[in-house]
Amino acid sequence: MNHKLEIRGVTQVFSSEEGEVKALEGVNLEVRPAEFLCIIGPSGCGKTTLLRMVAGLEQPSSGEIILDGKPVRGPSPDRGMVFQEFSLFPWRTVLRNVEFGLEIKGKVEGKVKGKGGGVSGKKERREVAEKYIELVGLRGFERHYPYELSGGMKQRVAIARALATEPAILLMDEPFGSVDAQTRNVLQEELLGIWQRTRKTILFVTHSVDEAVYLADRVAVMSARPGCFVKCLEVDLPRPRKRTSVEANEFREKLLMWLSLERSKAACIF
Amino acid sequence: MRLPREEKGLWLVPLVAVILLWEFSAVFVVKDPLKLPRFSAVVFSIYALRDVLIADTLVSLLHFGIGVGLAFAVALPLAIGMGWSRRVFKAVDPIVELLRPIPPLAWIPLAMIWFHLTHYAAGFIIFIGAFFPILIDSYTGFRDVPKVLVETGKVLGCIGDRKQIRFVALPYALPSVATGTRVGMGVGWMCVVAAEMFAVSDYGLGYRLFQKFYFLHQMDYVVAYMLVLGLVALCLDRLFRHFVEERLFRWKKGIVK
Repeated sequence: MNHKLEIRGVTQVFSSEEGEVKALEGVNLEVRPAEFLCIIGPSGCGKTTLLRMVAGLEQPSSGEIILDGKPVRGPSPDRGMVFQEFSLFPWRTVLRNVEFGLEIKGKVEGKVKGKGGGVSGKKERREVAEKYIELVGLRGFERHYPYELSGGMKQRVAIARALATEPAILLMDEPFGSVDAQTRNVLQEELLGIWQRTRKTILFVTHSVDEAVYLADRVAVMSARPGCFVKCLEVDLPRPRKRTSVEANEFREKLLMWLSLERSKAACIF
Repeated sequence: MRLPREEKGLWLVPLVAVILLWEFSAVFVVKDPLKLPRFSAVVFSIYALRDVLIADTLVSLLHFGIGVGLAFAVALPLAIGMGWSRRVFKAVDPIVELLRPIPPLAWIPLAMIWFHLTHYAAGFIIFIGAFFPILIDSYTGFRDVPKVLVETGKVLGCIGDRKQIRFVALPYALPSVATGTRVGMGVGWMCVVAAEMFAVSDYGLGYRLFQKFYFLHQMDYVVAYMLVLGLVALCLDRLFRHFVEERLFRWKKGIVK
């Protein structure tokens, strides 16, 4: 099977004044095209570090990350990222936030070709941005500044912004961690809708069992420091899923068991 | 900023009270126009001096423009360097902190030797006054850019310092740059009188105030020019706030009040 993303033997060692800390050790993971994969684990297990390495914001001490057959060297718009913290540019309106990636892309392409074309044109840029704003359900808010938006709306804009450059994969680092429970449910539902419409590959980091069971095709369970995967579970529940169904509950129990297993230090299986 | 209706004329009350108090004490208490010229006499002086006053204001604005313009042009690139790179900051900060406490007035002898009696000598003193507030506020703005915004920029294609500064750090720091510039303009204007005291030109508010009016002890003229100095600065500040800050701070409304 051809993989969208491959993580091969990735180890990450942070050195500090007190000595070296191993955050990740020999991590392997394969993500299939158009798959929704959740990484779950306790805080401090290195799941965010792993995601940041896929984004190119950190370099692994050893090992390789391969996207579409090409090794990841640094950050690039072909990997969209949604951060846990609110990350909108506060001086830009919703529309201009979503346009940001296209604007930069236009600058790069304009330099290469000498003259702007494609998404570098102002009008095309606007059209693409409006399409994604519509996708996340924020039509009518184009001219609002981030300070005028609620937490959930901010994260929707961040999703639209990450998608606007049409990345090969969408990386999400506990994106709904700082919104209230109701909004969180709504956002999860909407994210599934977006995923089904765009057929994007999504790598989603969370520490919430409920979230993983509701969203994922597969859940990769990570152990604490040094982090590695102890189990990868197929979520064989039909969609649309019901949060309170018996099957979902059974799966939740299975997942919780694997999470508690890792605390008693199960061996890393892959 | 919109004020509620009943607050609109509020500033007028204390202003009128102070003027009345001034006039009253000049006439009935001090009774010596040398020690305290009457307000009405000062207002009349402003009118009587109107021709020379406009010329003096323009020349002072020239000095001010040279000083603040230069200060901005030098401080901004340095602020970007110091705010963006820890290494530049570590290297340059000791020099900045050594020069910063030296009063602009202490630079007057050097200014005279370097630029002789020219507009540039006055401009230089104003430059010293305006430079450090602009620098300090601006580099603070560039230093405090949140990491997550820089990383968001990177993931969206801002590769390299130049792009990150242009598209992320600069817009983020712009309100701080504006605040620093406003403070710097204020300090720079305070240096105008001192900068012109030494007859760098035949015009200028400070030159006239010190070399002509004070020399002849025409205190009503002196106070008239003091008021003009205050009024011009007030106008400059209001203009700056209206044209620059209002625009830059629109997106900050929800963050700072």
